[in-house]
Amino acid sequence: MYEQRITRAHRTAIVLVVDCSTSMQEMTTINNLVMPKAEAIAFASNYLIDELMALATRYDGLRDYYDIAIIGYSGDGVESLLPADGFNSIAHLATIAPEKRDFTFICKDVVDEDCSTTYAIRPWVDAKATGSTPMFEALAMVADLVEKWCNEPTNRQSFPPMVFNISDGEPTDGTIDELISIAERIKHTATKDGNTLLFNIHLGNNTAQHPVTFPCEYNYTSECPHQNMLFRMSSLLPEGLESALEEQRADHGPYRCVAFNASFGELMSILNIGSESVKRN
Amino acid sequence: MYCCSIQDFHHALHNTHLFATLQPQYIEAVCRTTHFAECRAIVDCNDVLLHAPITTEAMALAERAYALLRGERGDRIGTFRILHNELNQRTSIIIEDLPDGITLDYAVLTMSQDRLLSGLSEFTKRLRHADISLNNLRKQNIIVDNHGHWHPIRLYYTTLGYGDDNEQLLALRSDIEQHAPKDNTLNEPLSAYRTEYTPLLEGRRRTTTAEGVGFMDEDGNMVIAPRYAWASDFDEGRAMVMTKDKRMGLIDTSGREVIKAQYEIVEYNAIDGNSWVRENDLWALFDYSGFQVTEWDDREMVDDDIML
Repeated sequence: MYEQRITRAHRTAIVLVVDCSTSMQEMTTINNLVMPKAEAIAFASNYLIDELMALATRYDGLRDYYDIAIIGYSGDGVESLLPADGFNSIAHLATIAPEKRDFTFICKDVVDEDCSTTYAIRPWVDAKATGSTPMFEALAMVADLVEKWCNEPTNRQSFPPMVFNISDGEPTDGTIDELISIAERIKHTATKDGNTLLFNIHLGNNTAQHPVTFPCEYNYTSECPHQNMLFRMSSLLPEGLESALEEQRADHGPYRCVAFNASFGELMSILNIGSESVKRN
Repeated sequence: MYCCSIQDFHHALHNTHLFATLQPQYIEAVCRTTHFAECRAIVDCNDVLLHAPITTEAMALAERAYALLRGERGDRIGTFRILHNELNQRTSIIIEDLPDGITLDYAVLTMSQDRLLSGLSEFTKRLRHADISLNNLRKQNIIVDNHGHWHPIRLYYTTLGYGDDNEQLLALRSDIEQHAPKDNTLNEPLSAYRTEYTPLLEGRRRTTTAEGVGFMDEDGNMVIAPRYAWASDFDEGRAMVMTKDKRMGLIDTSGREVIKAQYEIVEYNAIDGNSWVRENDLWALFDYSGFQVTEWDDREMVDDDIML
C-alpha cells in the first residue's frame, strides 16, 4: 500500500483546502519577512504548484503526472482558487501559466522600505481573507471531488489523493460530529494503492503556544475540543512516509497527519513530507 | 416555510441591512441547536437571543409554541416574538428576551440546594398550571434570577399538556441534590452577574469574575486578565472589549490590544476584518492589524471616501 510510483499511466491528485476567512489577515513571519497569513498561504500554494511542475518536467517536456485542486473557503462560500472548478491537470496549468510577478515583503521589526525583499512569483493563487470559516462545506466539496477522482478507471491503480486542509481557526458551519463525519468520508475514498490521506494543519498566531506536528498516535493528549477534532479528522501517516520523520525525532509512529499552532516553516515542512511520495516519479 | 443557512444568518448579523427591522449590536458568536442558528445580541438596549431557522421543520415548531405561549401561559412561563420575513425578506427570525440572572449550570455552583429546590418546585407548579411541556429542559436553558425564580429559554419546542418534562425535571432535581452546596454560605447575590454563556470559541472562553471580564484557555488558565467591564466573544481572531471607564478597543487571542481600549466606540466587522472607531463624534476605519486607514471625519464622509 502507498507504494505506487507516479507515472503518466498512474497519476495522482493533490488537494489544498485553504481557509480564506478574515482571521487570515493576521500577520505572520516567514524567514524574517512579515506578511498576512493569507499571503503566506498563497505563497505556499504557488510554490507547491511551481515545484510540482518542475518535478514533472523531463527532457521531452512536461509529463502529466498530477491533478491539482485548490479550494478556498470564506464568507464568500467555497470556491476553486485555480482556473477550473475541481481538478486542474498539471499539463493544463502549464498551458495557462501566469507571468511571474514581483511581491515585496517587509523585514521583521523594520518599517524602513530599504529593508524589504522582493520575490518574483507566479501568482496561480491570489491572497484572500474575508468572512467566516465554512470548513464543513469545503470538505464536503472535497469529498465529492476525491470520490469522483478515485472512481475513474484510469486512477484505480494510482497513489491515492492527498488532501491538505490549512486553517487558523475553527469551523463556523458544522458541529464536531459533522466535521469528523465528513473527514471520515474523505478518508474512506480509495484507490487500490490505499485510502485518501487527509492532513489538517492549524496555523498558529506567533504566540507562545507550542507547535505540535505529526503527534504520535499513542502519546497525544489535549483538553481542547477543536484540537481533538482535528486529530480525529486526520489520517495516520503511512508507514512508507514515517521514516522521514523518525530520522528527525526521538519518538516512533504511528503518527497522525495533523499540526497545531504550526508556523509557516512547519507548514512547508509538512507539505514536503506529505508530498514526498508523489515526488517519487 | 423558508429556512436559511448558518452562513446566511452569520452574514446578516454583520450586514444588518439584510434584516427588515432588526439592528442587533454587540453580537456574539453564532451557535447551533438542532433546528436553529442562535446568536446572543443587544437589540433596542435589551439582551436577547436571536434564532434563525436552519431546517424546514423549525418554524412550524416555533409557530406551534408561539401559539401556546401567547397570553396567560406566556405570563407564567415566558414567551418570544416571531419577526416574519425578517431576514432577506423571506426568513422569519425568533427573538427571545433574556432575563437577568445566571444559567442553572452556574447557579448549581453558587446557590444552596434549598433555594434551588424551592425554585424548581415553584417552576414545576407554573408548568402544571399552564398545562404545557417545554421539551427542552436542560441546565443551560434555565436562567435563575436574584430571587431564585426560574425562567426557561429556548421555548420553541413547547407543546400542550403537562407531563412530558417530568423525566427532565427529575434529572434536574437529582443534579441539584448531588452538586449544589447544602449550606447557605455560597448564596452569593447575583446582581453582580449577568447571564453567562461561555462556549469555548477559538480557544478562548469568556469568563466573568468579580474583577471583570477576561478569557480562559481550554485548560482553564486565565490567559487574558479579567480587567474589562465587557467583552464580546472571539470571532475570526478578534474580540471587542470595553474598560470600566467605558473606553472600547479590540484584542487578539493573546490579549494584545490591537486597537487600544481608549475610544468611545469600536465596531469590529468579522466579515472584512475592519473596525469603525469613534472618538469625539468623529469616525475612522481601522484595519485588522489595528492601523488607522482613514482620517477622522463624519461616518458618511469616511464611507464615501472608501467607496471612491
